[in-house]
Amino acid sequence: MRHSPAPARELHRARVRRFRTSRARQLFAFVCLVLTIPLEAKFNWGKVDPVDLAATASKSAPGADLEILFSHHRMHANSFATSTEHHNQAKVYTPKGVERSSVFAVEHEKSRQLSEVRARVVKPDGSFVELTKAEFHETTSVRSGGFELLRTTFSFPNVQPGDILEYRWDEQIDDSTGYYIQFCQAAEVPTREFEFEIDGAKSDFVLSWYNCPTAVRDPKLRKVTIRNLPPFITEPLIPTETEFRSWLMIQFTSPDMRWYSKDDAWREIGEYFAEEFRLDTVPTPALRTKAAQLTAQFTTPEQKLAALYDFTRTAVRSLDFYEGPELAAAKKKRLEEDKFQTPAKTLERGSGFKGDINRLFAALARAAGFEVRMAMSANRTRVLNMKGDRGWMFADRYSVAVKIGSEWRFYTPGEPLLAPGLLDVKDEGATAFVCDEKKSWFQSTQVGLPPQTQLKRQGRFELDAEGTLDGEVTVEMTGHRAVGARDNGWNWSIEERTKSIRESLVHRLATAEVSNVRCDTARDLLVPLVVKYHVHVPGYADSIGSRLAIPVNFFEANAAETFTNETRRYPIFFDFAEETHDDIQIVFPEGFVLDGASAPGSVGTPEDIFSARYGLTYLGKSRTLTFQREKVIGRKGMLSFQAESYPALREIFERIHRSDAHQLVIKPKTAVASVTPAATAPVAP
Amino acid sequence: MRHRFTGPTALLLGWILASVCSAGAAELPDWAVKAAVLPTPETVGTAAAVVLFDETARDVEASGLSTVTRRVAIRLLTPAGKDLLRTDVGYLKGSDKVKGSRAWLVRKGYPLKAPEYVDWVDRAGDPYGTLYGDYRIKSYSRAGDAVTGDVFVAETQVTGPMLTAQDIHGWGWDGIPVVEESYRLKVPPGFVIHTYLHGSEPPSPVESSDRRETVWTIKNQPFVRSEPHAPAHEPAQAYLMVNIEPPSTGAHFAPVVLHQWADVATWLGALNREQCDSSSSLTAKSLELTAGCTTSLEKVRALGAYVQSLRYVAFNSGLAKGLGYQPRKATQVFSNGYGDCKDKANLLCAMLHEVGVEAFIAAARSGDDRNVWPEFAAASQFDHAIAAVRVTEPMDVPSIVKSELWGSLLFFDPTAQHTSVGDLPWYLQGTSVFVQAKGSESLTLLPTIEPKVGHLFVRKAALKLNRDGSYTGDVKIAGKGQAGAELRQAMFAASSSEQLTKFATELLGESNQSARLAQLVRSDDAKSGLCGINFNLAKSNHLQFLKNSLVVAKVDIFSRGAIPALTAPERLQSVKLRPVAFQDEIELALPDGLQPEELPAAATFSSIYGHYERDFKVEGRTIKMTRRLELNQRLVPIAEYAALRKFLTDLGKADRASILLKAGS
Repeated sequence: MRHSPAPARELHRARVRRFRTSRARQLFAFVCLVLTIPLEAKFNWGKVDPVDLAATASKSAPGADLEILFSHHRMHANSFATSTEHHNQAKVYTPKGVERSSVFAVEHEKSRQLSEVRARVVKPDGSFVELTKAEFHETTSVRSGGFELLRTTFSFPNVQPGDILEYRWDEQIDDSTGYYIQFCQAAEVPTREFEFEIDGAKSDFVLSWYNCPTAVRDPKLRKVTIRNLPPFITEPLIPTETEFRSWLMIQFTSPDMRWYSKDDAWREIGEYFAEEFRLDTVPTPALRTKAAQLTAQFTTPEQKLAALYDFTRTAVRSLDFYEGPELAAAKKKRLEEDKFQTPAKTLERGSGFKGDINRLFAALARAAGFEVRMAMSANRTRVLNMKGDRGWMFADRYSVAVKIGSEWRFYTPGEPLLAPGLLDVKDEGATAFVCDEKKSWFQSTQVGLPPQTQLKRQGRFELDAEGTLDGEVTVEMTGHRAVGARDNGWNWSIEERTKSIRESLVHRLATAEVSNVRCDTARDLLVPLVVKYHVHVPGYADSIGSRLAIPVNFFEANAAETFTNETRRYPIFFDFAEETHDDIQIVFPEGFVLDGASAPGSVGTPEDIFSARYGLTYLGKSRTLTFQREKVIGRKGMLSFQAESYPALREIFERIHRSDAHQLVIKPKTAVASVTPAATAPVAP
Repeated sequence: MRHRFTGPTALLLGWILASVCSAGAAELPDWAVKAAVLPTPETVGTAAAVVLFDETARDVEASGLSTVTRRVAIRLLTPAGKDLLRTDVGYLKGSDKVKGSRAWLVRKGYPLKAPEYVDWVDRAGDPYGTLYGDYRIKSYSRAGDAVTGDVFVAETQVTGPMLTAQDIHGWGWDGIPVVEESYRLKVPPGFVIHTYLHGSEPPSPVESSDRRETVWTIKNQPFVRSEPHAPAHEPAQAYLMVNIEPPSTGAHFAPVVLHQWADVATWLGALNREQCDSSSSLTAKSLELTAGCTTSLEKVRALGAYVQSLRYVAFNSGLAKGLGYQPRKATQVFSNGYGDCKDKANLLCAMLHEVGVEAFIAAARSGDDRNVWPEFAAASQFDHAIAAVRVTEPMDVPSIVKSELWGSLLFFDPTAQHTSVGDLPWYLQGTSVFVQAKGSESLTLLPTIEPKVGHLFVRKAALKLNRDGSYTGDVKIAGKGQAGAELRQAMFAASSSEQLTKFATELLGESNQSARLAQLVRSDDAKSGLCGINFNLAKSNHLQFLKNSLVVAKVDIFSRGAIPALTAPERLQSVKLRPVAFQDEIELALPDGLQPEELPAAATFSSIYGHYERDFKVEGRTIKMTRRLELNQRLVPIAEYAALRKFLTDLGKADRASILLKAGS
């Protein structure tokens, strides 16, 4: 039996009901009145600044192909609808800028009108050509069910470097729900002025902007102006552009949308979800029995939680993850049901959606005596910090917070690939909101430490006198490495796995032939993922006359450098922390000896955030070289760095790359005198 | 309380369930019921899906209206094949009607109710750069609720007028195994068909007793996994080309009937008669651009560069009436400053005409590896348009073809923005085009330009090594022909100095990508087609010092990415080798205290796939490496795979470039 609704839950439902009924009323009123929308006042083009007409290059971003001179957006409402007037002006400087101005498209839902679409090209002498109505083409972009998306396209005639392109349109918007987001900072194009003004809207709204250091707001007119935005140019290892690119958001807060009061939304959200979660995860006798059975042999809280976690993520099949005929009926049945499935039911059925499994884990943890809470967070790869007044809008990730001693840790057993204690990279280090009926709080989620993600690579090779390498490779993965590999290759046949390994190797070793690939643990989530294969690489070692130069680290030979750019704009975020252990043995060809061996230099210390330690030994009797490498990324969970750290980071990775590319030289036992190729000039003294 | 159904209740429920299921099954047409229960062949291997049945049936009416009915049944074998459980129906807005489109997901013989979120989607099928297009696609997918073993079944029907009395049908599902695939053609009484079949094992026709309907069927097409460097279309793939001939009394038959290439020339000539027009401004611009040009080649260069610089914008309206083969008027394209391939080719012809040079549009196929069949006179074999310029003076450029009808024709693609006059995009080389001119009666084969002439990268590095292991020096990289076009395109996209540095870095080998680049200078010569970039390069810690005074130096400064890597022991598809050539020259000036210890031996070998040679020389205190690599344009058949693989492995083995130096006085 379900518990009767508690006060917070009932309040929430009442708000939703009120919203739904009033939405229906609004819609009816809109349909009745839309036919009488008065025509907008006719738009007139303004004058173009003569300085802009004469300009031949961007002052703020020299070398730019195009520059947005202004991008103005004005939202206003009459008694029938809310619409936005868009007006853009851009200067073309180069032939590439001309090419980028080929086809312009404005898309809009059929239910919302687009009007006053106009465009013109202004020549450097001030004359202009305006597009006729026939030059705008409206077509249905997509139509399905009752939804239809229209697209109006146009192309500016005869564009030349030096021209100014100007276009504008009015667009009805839906301000009855949700929010409206606009990037102010254009990709690869500088923006001289971006302006958003709200004369009015049918609904209440809140205007906010992010990463706009030059923003100026006129509170009376409700206008924000942002000037001199550089082009947004993305870089590797930045997780989310919303943290670094200028953007603006209008969130509509009509009375019907006020599910939460303005000032204490987080408190209300915390109370509501905490109460609901408590009621939804009450341990039943069956759950208590199961929890006791699962934790019986363990003593520490961590062990007990790991046992409950592993049980829920592996014994209970996630309907979000697993697919196949055997679960088709269960999934269909579950989809047809009410949203909620009790933990007891999830346990009984042995299947459920992600949320069902998380609640089962929470209920079992409660049954085992742990304190649990529901936590919500934003996807770290989209939003880093959601603590603000309206940050709850971005909270779309849910986890179970469990108290261990005095600390709270976060678990998501609904995602079966994640080992105990590990969170998805979207959740690691995120700001979580832990819901509590008395006092909720924000807390950072745990970040996986290097030992939790291990990549162990072992190679046993023989090298022949021609430089061909041949041998067996074993790669073992845990943590995020295993998650990624399992996620990609869950359904792979051996043939597909062979193809994948082959493709990953040929970028570095163009002649590598891969065969006899084995992988027995792809679907056994309780053990590391282990892949084994045979590899044969003709020309692995460079033949230098009678000598051979051998890259000692088969796993990094000819790998590209991590950081090649000299400068950096944005902070650097590594995906996850990890340890890599390489263990390689190479038996040299008979009759060859090492020639002046040296070991690659280690980088960093065992305390540093990044380190790479190298070990090299050689047994002359068996002609066996043993190479070992221990590389750590993100020790102590340190994964994010300011742009100022880039030169230092780049240097560390350059040094690691250099050591990874280390070569040894072997020569025939019958020592070689220095030789040069035939038909060459003698060596100068 | 938990309910359990026993006895009569269970029987009643069973009856209801069976009725519902059989009602669902009744919705399925007979062909689908039969197809859905076909066993999966044992030969599917690791395929993600198997096509159990695929039939395309074209029913032509006496008026030229045609109805194409498509019936498809696909079984899902692994989750990776889910995206195949869909049907896409292409149609032309305003002229075609899509009717009777139905699709089901069949599980254990019974159709499943579609989830709420599944519906037919009608979308614009415009390719990139289209301002407006008639072409649309209706789609239906059951990828969202399918599980392995399910069969997706679809029956779609499109009715519309045929533009020409012709059809082309190709078999195959891009390597997905197919149990049975048919093409069925039905014509009205009195009509006859002429067919041309291609492929290694083309299907045999089966005629109905009244000879109105013919069916071609291929059974048991095997699974072919995707492989690198495979052509988009295999020469072995089966194709059928059909000409439909109305009776002499068939006056109401609307489609254009084409028998020979001359008919195609006449039809296209009529369609395009008014399009190559002129205006005073077009004339003035043509004269302005060619002022000072004394030869035809110079005029083509001047006008070609202008047309190339215009934006690519397509306007695909009136396709059912044949306007897909009709360029917009030259004056309109000129005043708009944009157009698609045929618009650009036509404008170039018009501008050349203004300066006294005759030129024609040539229909071409833009590089999907499908042959143009000379025996089948059809404009629909082409999807691209270029210009064929009649030149009278002798000139030494590789894109000239001698023809009996027009003498020397200089072919030029004004849509290929970065390909110089005298060169041809690599995907057009060796293909056949149709020159759209009066009297044109056959196809013209475009030249295949030798790698060392038309695809050559010349790369030079003069580096000075220092005792601390660093180097500094100058690098020059230039491209000729398509190699130049590749560099030109990349540098066009890299307008800022930051982008240019990033691009130049990518031209270096892996071990040199952290080097510092400075003083980057672009160069481009319209006359020779040579495009390049020069820069300074500096890198620390390039040398690796060993214990006994030996020093290892890597000489592979430049990227080696253009060489295909083929290491799989077996091959199921041909290999498409793209032409490329490199001439590398790397000089390492040694500092005092370092001298050459040992250098790699010279290597040289050749085969039908290409040529390789590399040598090291010591000149004074400078070590000089020269390397020459050529890969020929070639479609390598499966039978030759082992030989090609050996060539590439030999190349990989030989193409190493470490040297040994010795420290000491």
